[in-house]
Amino acid sequence: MRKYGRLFILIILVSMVTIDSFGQSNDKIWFDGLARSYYARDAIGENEQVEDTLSAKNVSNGYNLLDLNTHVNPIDDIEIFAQLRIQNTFGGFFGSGTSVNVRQLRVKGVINKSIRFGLGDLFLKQSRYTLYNDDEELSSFENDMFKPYRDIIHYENFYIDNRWRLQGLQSNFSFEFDRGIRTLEFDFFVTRPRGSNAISTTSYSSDQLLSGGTMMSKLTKNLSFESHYINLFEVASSGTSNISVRNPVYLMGLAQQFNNKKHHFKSKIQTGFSQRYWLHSELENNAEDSTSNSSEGLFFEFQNTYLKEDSSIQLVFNYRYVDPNFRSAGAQTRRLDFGKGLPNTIYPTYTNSLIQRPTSVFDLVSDDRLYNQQISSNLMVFNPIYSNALPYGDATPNRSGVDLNARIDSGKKLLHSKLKAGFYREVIGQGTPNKRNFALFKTAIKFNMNECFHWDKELSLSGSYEAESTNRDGDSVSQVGLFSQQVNIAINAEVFPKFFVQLAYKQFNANGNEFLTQRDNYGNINNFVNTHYKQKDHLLSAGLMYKLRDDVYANIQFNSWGTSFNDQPDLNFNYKRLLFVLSVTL
Amino acid sequence: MLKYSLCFIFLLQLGLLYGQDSSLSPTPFTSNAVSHKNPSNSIDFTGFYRFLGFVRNQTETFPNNSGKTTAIVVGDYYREPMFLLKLNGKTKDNISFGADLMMNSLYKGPSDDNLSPLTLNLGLNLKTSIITDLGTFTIQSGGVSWYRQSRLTVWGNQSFNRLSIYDRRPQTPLNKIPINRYAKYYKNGLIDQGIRYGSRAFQGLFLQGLKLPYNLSVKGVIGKSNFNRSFLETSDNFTGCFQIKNELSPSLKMGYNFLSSWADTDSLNIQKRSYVIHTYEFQKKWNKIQFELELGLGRYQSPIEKLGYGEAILANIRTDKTTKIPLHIQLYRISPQFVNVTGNFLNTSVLEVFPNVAGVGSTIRTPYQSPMVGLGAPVNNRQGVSINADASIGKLKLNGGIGIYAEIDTSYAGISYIHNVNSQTLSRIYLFGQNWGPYNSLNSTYRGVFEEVNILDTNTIGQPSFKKYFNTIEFQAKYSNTLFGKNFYIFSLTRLNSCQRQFNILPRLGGQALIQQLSQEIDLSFEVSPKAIVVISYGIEKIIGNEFTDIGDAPEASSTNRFFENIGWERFYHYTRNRNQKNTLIGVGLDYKIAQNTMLFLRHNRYTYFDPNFIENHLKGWETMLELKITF
Repeated sequence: MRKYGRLFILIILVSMVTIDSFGQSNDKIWFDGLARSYYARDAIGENEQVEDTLSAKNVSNGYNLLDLNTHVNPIDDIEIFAQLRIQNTFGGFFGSGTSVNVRQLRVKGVINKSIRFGLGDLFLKQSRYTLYNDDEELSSFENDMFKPYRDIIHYENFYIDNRWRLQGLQSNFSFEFDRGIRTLEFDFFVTRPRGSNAISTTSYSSDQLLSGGTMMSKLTKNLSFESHYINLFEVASSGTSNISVRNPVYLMGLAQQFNNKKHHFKSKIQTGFSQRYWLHSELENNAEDSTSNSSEGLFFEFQNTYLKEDSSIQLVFNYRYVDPNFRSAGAQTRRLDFGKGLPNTIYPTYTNSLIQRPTSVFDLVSDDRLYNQQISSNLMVFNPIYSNALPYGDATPNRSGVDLNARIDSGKKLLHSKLKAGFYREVIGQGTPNKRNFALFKTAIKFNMNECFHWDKELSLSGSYEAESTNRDGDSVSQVGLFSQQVNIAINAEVFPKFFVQLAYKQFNANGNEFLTQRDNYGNINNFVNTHYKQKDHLLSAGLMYKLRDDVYANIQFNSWGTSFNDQPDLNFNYKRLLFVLSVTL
Repeated sequence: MLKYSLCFIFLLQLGLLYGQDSSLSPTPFTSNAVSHKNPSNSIDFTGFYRFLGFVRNQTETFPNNSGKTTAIVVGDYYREPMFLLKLNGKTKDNISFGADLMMNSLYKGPSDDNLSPLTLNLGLNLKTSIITDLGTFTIQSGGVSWYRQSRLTVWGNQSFNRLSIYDRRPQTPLNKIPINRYAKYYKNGLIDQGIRYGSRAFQGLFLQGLKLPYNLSVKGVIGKSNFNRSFLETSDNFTGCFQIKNELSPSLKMGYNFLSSWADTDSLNIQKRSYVIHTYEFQKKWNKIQFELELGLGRYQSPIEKLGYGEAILANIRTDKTTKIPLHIQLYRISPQFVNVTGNFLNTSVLEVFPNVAGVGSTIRTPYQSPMVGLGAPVNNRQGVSINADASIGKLKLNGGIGIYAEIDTSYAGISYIHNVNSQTLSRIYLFGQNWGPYNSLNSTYRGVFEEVNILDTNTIGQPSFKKYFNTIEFQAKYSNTLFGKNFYIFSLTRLNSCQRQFNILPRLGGQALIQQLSQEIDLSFEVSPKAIVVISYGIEKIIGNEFTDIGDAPEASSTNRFFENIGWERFYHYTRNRNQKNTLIGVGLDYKIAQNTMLFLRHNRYTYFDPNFIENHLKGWETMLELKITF
């Protein structure tokens, strides 16, 4: 009784601490959302190499949708949110092809003006090594021409601000002090990325849960401390398998700021530790629980950031080391899983043999169904031609190296540029003592020519270049040499107010060889497949854009795209597309 | 451990209580996304609740009836919403968006099988207008929208408003008081049947430009109608059209219309079925005369047949309604090569443009075998003229018309006619069915039924060797007065159609007509109180075919008119073994206003559909409908 009494006092004391209140409006119900009209017509392009008399010459599809976000505030500090998706396919009349679904449902609010909470559909992010939804390949240095495609991919897959969409409960609260440490902030969540499902009539998969917590503190005006914990685990008893994964990750970091009137410097050092193993429980003959496929790994990162007062220059320099066995499901899960073998939406098969068409750069740009929303306990399969240096983002295991991120804007908006360069090396070799070396270089420049001529309307030329190189010395069997690069060029001309003519060209080349790793169900490498690449993807686009705002626009564009393979078993393909998108954020 | 925790928390609390006011961290760390309130400018909801309870009891059924003679149904048969919730919103950028949610419930018990999904009545729409120096441009995109352009390109089925208004339609709006529905029809002859009346359903991208230089205006759509569709949804099947109109003066307008419709007909999308139409419109208004002319040229081709080019002429001359006897003369000639399914005329020359693929396009097929139609309903492969006139004698309002039409080329060995009496009742028995009934001659459309008759006089390839000629007379009388201080309205409508092998000025009766159709409908509406109207309807329809049409299966011939047979006036009847149909309807109903925007409608009908020569064509029964409609 005494114990419960103390607990009660503890709770009361915690709840008395004042925390910033969550802003709410007096309006009880309000709406926002998104409406979109989409139409795409694809056609087979000219192709001398391939005879395809079985595929339709053209294919079209389209839809109209309205995502109506209903926000209900029954009391000031509580919000119930439901996203209702109303969709009808283009061509379906009088109810045909119509669907109405609930896309999101959650409640969030503040308890006693102190503790924030969210329950239901949540968008969570911690740090780049614990819970982080890293950008997909070839996307970060892209031009405006393909923004309608990217917008759809991100929206349909709930990619918001590098967060994972998860369903569960989250809560956070903070303290402020005027002596000693300045703040103390806590955040906790428990979510279920995958529920138990029937695999057959007699077997069920287990529930997979992801829980985590954060403690952050501003120790002084310029010094802060953070620690994160996250754990992906399965509840074996919720399914019929007695093997369940455990993947806890621990992180702590210290950041120091140095500021003066014109310059801001920030140094951050963080390190972490991960475990992953499979627990065998409920064994026969009352045997004790055991573990298998256990691995442990750590990481270390030292980051220095410089920011000019007017934000015209930002430089970020990193050194990082990530153990080969560092496993963090929340940070290493990829948006693109090439292991699933998902068919492309556009012309999934080609040639008269009806073979599955390889995924091209255009598919990555345009096909939202290729993307993943599910947290994975194992490393997903990646395609080394698109991303070999950091396929799992900054948390990519078996890497040590340095990189530099820079963003430089000239005065008067004339020039915007950004750059990323990195050099990495494997910590241990894969299948050989020799280690791979990676070099990564990305740059993008946007030149607003209208600023030169003092035109009100925009006339801009933008270009970007991305290249990755992978090398591994060794004998002729184990040698690796892979080089891939992507070039983007785009012109944006505002001919009438808010009305743009756009032209863009994208080319991607990959050349060389790499060993694709094959892993078992527990992520252990069991084979390497030497794969040769020599392919060129092209994408030429021309279009018109009427843009009221960044998230309100009408776009019509023509795409001519394809892939050619040299000395490869795959056959070339060329296609054309006419796209219309009207996207309105309500 | 708990002791230390308590001390720690207490210290923190003290720090907070006695600390100075400082704001260090306005946004403490949260792993969750932070949302901001950013509502759209306005969203409002309109719509209606409409309960329709329906009981039908058949005392005589078709022989293939399952044995179920009584139907108790809740909800409208024709995919109409019980609860329509129309969402209308507008963003900060002045973009309108809307969706019409449709919710139905069968009220058949709590079983999951009876759950009805939430769906859309028509679809989603996005619309915005841009005002520029050149003009005002409107862009609309989305689900089903109702679009109208010109009668030969895009125009809904619209003819003269000569009909019985005893039956209600779901789209019919509620009046302030019930009697207004009948008063308006008496006064104007118009019934508000909603936005869809006179327009066609389209999906796609709509553009409109108004107030353009030189008094020009443009509008157009590229998208899909529910006709001329491919059997694969992903194949190319589009209908695009536009209109450029120039208002040279308030009394003179000219315009150009274009329409193109094409659909891939094979899985590889190599073969196409398409038609293209160009028309020129001219509208001139003199003092009391208005002249409208639309000249068109169309071409149809498909893998099955290439019809080539064909012409169309549609002219309307109207005198002002202020004249003593307002006249409306319509002349038209639409060649069989001029094919269009979205215009204000029936396509009779090509059957394949009706998609008839459930889930892709319309499965409703309008009459296409030489249909006998009313005045103001043009048909292709036909030419003719009609004259309509109005007159008033005190409180008696008369209007009527006569029409003479002829086929341009020989056509199918068949004639179709639309039932004027019991049409809704019959269509409810088999919704949107084709070639149904004991003789496979009935076809259901939206709230209507047409019937096909075979012509036996054909050549060696089964085609008639003669052209068909059609005559139509319509006469309507409307009378209003008061009785015991209460308003009442009487509407009488007589329609006579005939189809024969020779040209005649007037409809042919007797054995000379291949098919003759005579119908008489009388509606009475009596205002019992400002909130209650009693309505009574009587309708009778007679269809007689001659010896060149289908022969019945009855062993003996029947008289075409039992009344004259009984009194022995042989001149007015004859015996036949061909079509000798008689349909009757007697109905009584009540319109009652419960409250503002809330009305109750009750209808009880007794119907017969009978042909003594086709012994299985015998239907008899009654149906009762209770409708409660609440709008908001």
